[in-house]
Amino acid sequence: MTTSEKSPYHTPAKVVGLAALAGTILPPVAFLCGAMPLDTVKGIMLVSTILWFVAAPWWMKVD
Amino acid sequence: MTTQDHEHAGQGMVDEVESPAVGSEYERERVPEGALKGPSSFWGMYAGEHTAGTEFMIGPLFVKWGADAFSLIVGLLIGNLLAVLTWRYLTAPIACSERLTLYSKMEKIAGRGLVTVYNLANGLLFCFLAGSMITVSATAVGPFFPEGTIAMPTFSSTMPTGPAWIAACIVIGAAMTFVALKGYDVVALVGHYSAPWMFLIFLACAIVTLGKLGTTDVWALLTPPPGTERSISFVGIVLFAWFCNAAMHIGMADLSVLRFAKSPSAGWASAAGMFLGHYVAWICAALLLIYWVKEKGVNPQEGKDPGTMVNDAVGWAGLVCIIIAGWTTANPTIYRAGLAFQGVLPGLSRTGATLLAGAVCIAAGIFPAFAMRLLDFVGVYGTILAPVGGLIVVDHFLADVVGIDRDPAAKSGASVNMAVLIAWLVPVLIGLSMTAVSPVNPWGFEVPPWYLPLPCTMACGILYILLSKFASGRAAAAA
Repeated sequence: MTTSEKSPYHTPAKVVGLAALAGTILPPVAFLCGAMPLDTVKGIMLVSTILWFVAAPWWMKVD
Repeated sequence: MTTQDHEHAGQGMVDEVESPAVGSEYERERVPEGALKGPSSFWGMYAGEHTAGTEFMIGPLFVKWGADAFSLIVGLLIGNLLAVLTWRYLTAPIACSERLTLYSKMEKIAGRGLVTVYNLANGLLFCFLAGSMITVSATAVGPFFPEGTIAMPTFSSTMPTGPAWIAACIVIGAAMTFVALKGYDVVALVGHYSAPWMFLIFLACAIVTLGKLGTTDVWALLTPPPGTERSISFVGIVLFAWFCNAAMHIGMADLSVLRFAKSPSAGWASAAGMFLGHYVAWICAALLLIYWVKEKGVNPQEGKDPGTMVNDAVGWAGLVCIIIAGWTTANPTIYRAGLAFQGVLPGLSRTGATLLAGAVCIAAGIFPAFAMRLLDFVGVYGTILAPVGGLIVVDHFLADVVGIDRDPAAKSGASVNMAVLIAWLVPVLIGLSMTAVSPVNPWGFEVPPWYLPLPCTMACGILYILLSKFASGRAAAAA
């Protein structure tokens, strides 16, 4: 895998992708700490999943 | 566990089937210097390809078998480390020296006819593996419907659970087969993009489970309750982790991938698959079932289907993960099984061969027995295919030392090297006859299948040396 340096979408996609990954793993941690209900965790994870698959092709573009 | 990087069954038909990380050219020749890739190309590929839907089955199966915390945490660590070391110090050096696919190398040693037999075995085993993935993916469909619409299988299920289950498997399997007919570029890319997210979903399942159980003491959770019967020992866990991908490392199927590596250090990339995809994912999946046993009274011998457990933990994101993890690994498996069948039946079109493979996979998927006995199946898979790696090790490292020809079939033009055929079949048949999957066991004891890949591979190598020496002695006497 190589990252495309030319695409203007690369940096925004990287930001969204990282946010999506954070949205996948941080809500469960918040649930573990008792700071977030499980239904909210599931909702954020689903939205993060959608965002990840939107961002990843632009961020992890394969040459 | 994966099949994506397995050996190609045909020639000139592989352009669509390679991972994005490695090229598909140079099927019949050494990979030239200009086509080599650095280690970074392999890390993401191994991480993605060894995080499959079936990981959701393997962790709970360890729970069913009463594995203790030490075996799971330390045993899996050691076993996966041994697998990485095998890739690094056995597979990768041979791959970087020979720079050939397993198919090409085997043809030089065993002859084209025997490679066809290997492909048939490979293709059939692929079908059953893909069937397991269809089974696991189908469990992710159930939670989308009202409870009870699709009766889910348990560990003890061997037959289809009902018409709705059969329909779910057929729909998923048909979709996978349809995509396989089109080639799997897109699926390979989806798998590539999914890898980091999929790993986090596994981790999220475990973290949520710990939250539900109100503890972070993983060691205590993994410790089975007193009186639990242990069906797998510490050594068994180590060997399973080491040899669940035996066909790829000691069996040398990953020559096809690692031949593109600039140096054998690329073999370390397998650590991404072994420690993220196997070690962490299996323990995370095990925690899911432990929660259901402790809090919902599920019998560990019956288990709970992955779809229900993952949906309960992380919701639809987890169900998407199961489907994608199954899809991205089953789809290339169906494609390659089709190629294998086409190698055996050259008159069959690619479409016909893929449809045949898809039909066998769907039939296997409908019957949960393959997925529910996944540990046994993976052991059998390694036992049958790994021994060819013993032949390659002998040919590469020992042939000159012990005084036998290197690449004998290439030199003689033989279609079937009888020394290879006997050296492969005898240890495999003896080994399999010792397992519970054998219909006949004359030994009076049973050996778990995952104990067998290493001894069968070593026996195959030793027999090959003896038979080659015997054959060359007879040829010299005749001359």
